[in-house]
Amino acid sequence: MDIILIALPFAMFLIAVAALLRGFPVAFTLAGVAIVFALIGLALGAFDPLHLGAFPQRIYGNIMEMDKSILVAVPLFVFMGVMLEKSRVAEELLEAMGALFGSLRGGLGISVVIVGALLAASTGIVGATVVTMGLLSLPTMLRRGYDPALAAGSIAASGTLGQIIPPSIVLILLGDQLGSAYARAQREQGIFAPDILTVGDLFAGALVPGLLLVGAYIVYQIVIAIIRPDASPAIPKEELDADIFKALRALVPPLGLIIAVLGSILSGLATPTEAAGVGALGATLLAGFRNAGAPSNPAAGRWLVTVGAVSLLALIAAAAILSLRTGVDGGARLLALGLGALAATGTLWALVRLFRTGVLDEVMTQTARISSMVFVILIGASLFALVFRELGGDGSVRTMLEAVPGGVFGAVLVVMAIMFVLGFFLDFIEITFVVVPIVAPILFLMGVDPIWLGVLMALNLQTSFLTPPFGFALFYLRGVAPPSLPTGAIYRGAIPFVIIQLFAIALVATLPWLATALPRMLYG
Amino acid sequence: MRAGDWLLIALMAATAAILFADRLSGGAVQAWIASDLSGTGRDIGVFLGWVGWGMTPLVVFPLLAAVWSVIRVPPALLIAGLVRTNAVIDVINRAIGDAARWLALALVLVTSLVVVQRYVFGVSITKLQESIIYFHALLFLLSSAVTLLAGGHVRVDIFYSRLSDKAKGWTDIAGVYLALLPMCWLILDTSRSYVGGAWRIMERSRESDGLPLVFLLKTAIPVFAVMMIAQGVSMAAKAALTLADRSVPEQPAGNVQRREGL
Repeated sequence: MDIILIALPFAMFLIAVAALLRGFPVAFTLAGVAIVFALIGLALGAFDPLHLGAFPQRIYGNIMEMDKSILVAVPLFVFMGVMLEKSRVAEELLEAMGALFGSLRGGLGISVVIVGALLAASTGIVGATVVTMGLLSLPTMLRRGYDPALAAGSIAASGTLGQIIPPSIVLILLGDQLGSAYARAQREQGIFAPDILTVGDLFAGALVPGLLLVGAYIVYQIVIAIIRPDASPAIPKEELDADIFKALRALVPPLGLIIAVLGSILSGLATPTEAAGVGALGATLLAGFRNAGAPSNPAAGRWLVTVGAVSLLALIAAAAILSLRTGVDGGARLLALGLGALAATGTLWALVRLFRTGVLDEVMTQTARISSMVFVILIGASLFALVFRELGGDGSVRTMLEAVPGGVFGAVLVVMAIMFVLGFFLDFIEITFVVVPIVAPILFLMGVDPIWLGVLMALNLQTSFLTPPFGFALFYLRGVAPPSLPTGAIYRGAIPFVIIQLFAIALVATLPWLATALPRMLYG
Repeated sequence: MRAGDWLLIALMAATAAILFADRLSGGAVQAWIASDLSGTGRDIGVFLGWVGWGMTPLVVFPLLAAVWSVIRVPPALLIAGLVRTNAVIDVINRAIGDAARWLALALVLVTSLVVVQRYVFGVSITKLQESIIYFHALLFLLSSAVTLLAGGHVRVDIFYSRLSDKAKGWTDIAGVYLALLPMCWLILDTSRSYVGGAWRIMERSRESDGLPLVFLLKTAIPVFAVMMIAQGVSMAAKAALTLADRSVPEQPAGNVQRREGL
């Protein structure tokens, strides 16, 4: 009898994985397994049905309360990312970068990495990045005689940068879960002035490791270009029209958004949610300026949107420089109101344009879908975690982790290995919502640094996203790659990048300051 | 314009009319709400509860059809009923979801407005700030059903994508009856005391100058459950039609199975 009770939480976990593999939507499968095991627990007298009564309270408290306003950053960043995707930022960047670097050996590969990093920092949506680059860059690279494996690997790997380079959805969800777990762990230790882990901390922590990865990818491209020149040939100069102005025009919008959004978060000026809102507005103005989705772009509308965007920038600049917050007097107030009215007019016109072309519709629909997908999984996972905990799963996991040889390091290693394997079948969303609330409080009680743990988890999930044969980034690429490119080549190409990733994880694991130094410096 | 757009316009017009009537009558509407809404809400809730119980038997029909189709062809009446149910549910949920998608835009605009107010003018309006989280919650709760309809709720599709149409149908039937419906039923059952309690005290924001509508926000949770039950039945009906070798009625645009991929 006792053995059954002890085995129950483990059985629950295994059955959940098996049930998920059957392919019914994750959110409901998790909840269904939880209910079945709650009933089994009930029959064995190991579960109090009162706990199930807390379910709506959980839904409300986990996602819908004011304290959880950080989660609003998720739909806002999705809105921004989809809007940028529709305004063809990726296409222009790829074209311009390819023209700039193409005449170097390995240049196309390097430009893919750089564009991947820029898109990661502005849109942060892995699927879209891999698909866009797979559609645009892969044919070019293959036509220019690139080794198919190298080309495919570069694109898949660069696409996954969106998960680690802030602002990323992974880091927001991870930050939210780790933050609650950290608060819980400190409460259990009886600390009444607890240290708080914010999403901003995690953004700052992930920045250096993310840039490190970008650097490592570029070095890899250079090394290949030197030791295997025929794998990444140069394009003859006369076939390229390297236009520095064109490149600048492609670079300025995403760079501006990155600096504004990331800068205001990292400097502590704005919360991630606020920055995401303004970023989404900026993306909307950019798309409106370009009349995204329409074949032509009448000048009058372009000017109206430009005036709006400039007014908005002026307004923000004025707020930052003049610090109008404390009492705005007559003249300045009037000016600010005027600028505000212009910005509103420009925004309105951008929206009218995007509504006409149907882009607004698509962006809103996709934002609604993705947001619903993410948070309904959170609903299912919170029921799962509730039942798992009440069945004694927490205690079993704690005993197990504490028994792992090698102390804290061993425990972290085991957790990472489990997450890595789970990453083959499950999306980062499920792993974050199911595994993190169970293991993180235990690791925190053992004294693990929360930022370090968060960055390691993010890197780890990113790696499993890229690892053959199940990595999701590889699936996305397979979906858009020409049939002539064998799947084996995609797998072969991904492996060197997986090795780079593993090195990066090892580096951050052994040198925690890579993750923790920047947030300490910024936020003390 | 989609049906959902008109639904949204109608809702906004109704809200405006209520506010206008309140202004005209010198606060009479608000006084009525303060004194009577809680009781009226309870009565409506009880009524809806009976309607719900009355409709519950409908839930089994897709399962019945699926099991029937293993042995022989299900009767034409059952098939016609499934087609009809499926169409009605899809139209309603799609309209609600289409109306809700505008909340995504509202989220962007209101967040930006709050930022400008706060950083430029040094003003912060609690009601406006709180409305952001309402938009966020309503956005994902109300568009969940249409997301299921469009195949947007992520599946682990390593094996699923290789299954035959019939095997997919059985997966969906099993999932709906073993996971989706129990989860929604649990939400509905436990919401009775949770949301009922919120209505009893007409729960408002903890801030004195916040929105007095927390009871409505909490009501979105059982509404979500009801919409998902309906969409689950529609999903099961489609699966049952596939199992009975009936072609599933073609859905309008946007019904693509695809991972969104964050």
